[in-house]
Amino acid sequence: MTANQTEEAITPEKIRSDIQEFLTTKIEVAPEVEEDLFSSGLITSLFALELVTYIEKTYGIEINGVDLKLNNFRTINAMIGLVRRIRAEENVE
Amino acid sequence: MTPEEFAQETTLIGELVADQADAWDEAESLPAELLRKLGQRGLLCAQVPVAFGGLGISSELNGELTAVSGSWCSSLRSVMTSSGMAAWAIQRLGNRQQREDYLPQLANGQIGAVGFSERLAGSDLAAMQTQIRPDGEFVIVDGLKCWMTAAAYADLLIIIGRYDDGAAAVAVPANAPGVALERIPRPLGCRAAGHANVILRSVRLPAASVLGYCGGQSLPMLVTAILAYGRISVAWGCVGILRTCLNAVTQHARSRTQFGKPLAEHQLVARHIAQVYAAEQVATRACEHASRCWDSRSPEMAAAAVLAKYVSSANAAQGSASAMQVLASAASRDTSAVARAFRDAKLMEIIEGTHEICELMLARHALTP
Repeated sequence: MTANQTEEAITPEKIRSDIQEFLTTKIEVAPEVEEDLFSSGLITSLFALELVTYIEKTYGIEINGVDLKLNNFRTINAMIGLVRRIRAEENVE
Repeated sequence: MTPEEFAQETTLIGELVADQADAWDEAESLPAELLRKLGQRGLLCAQVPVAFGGLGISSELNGELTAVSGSWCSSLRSVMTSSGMAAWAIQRLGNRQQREDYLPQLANGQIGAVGFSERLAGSDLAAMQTQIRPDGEFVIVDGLKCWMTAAAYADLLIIIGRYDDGAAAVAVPANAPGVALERIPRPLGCRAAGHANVILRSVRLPAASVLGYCGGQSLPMLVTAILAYGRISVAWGCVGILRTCLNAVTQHARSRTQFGKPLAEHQLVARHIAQVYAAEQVATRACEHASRCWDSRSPEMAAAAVLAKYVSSANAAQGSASAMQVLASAASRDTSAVARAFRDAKLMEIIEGTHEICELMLARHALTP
């Protein structure tokens, strides 16, 4: 599979459904894309790290220090933005 | 690394430690030569990837290395935990440049240590007061870190502190101006692990010393990410403690006779033996599970690391207490192997997240909707 094909396959829609599915299996609710996962008490720091690892593994990316900010994981939309930005940066490199 | 190469390395560690762990414990110091030799072979942070000059072994294999070393000397194992955790912090939080700058040094003889705790911020790390303040092309670090394991031997200190409205980890050379160490005398356990309080007074470093080049991360995420390594490592160290206890208990129960028969044939002693055996087996399984989660990059890893640390440290504390009871006066000299295990194990229920903090994390994990 070339980088371009991978890029096409991983649409924002795909990321959304992946993450929603992961959250559904883990916390048995499917949050809305703009729902604040932390203020709603859905996520602990242990689970936040699970999310980081899940996203890294699913999209073959590395989420380094600078991006380990709660705001990047606060909503599903924020996570979609993070994955797309890191993938774009890695393709540039 | 082939199984033969791995066996060579553990044999080497065994030869270097030989029968000296009690003397090191008494002297509250590990020989510089020992740490230099093991450090240069990459054994103090053995998971550093080959691309960065490390041995690049899996968490599971490093676990075995940690358990074997911990079965001989928990102080040496503590240095492995600290240096490995410092390397992991750089790998996890640093950018490519920082990995290239720091990891090959740690994999080739330098020793790392990580500072979380402060006088007012033990279990409650949110109360942390150490400041990492950006100042143009520099950052200024101010704070006091307590009970930093291996700090007395470390070349590189990874210091966690506040940064803007979040947190950051910064790599501080131990010889940077403004860094002062205060050794902690007579710790209960791991007496030769080089515990120290580290005082940082207006320590001025290039801004590029902040891991990831930019702070402001979430403190709980930062801490959980770094401690995952330390927790698995401490847990494997506890497996080592339990192996030593099991070995001592079975030998003693076979060889010592009371009331006309070996201790092993007394049922109340046999129960202790069963308890130590079960403690060692269960701890090993919990550690294997955590390491396999780590190696397969399973999202379950962080929780599995807490679970392994929780189970293994409690089992080591209970198992070493049983071993003390069976060996009785034969282990009652403060520096014998089982007495060390007893003291070291208690400390393992305190560091890297106390037993109670692990319980809170596990309960919350279990309760997550």
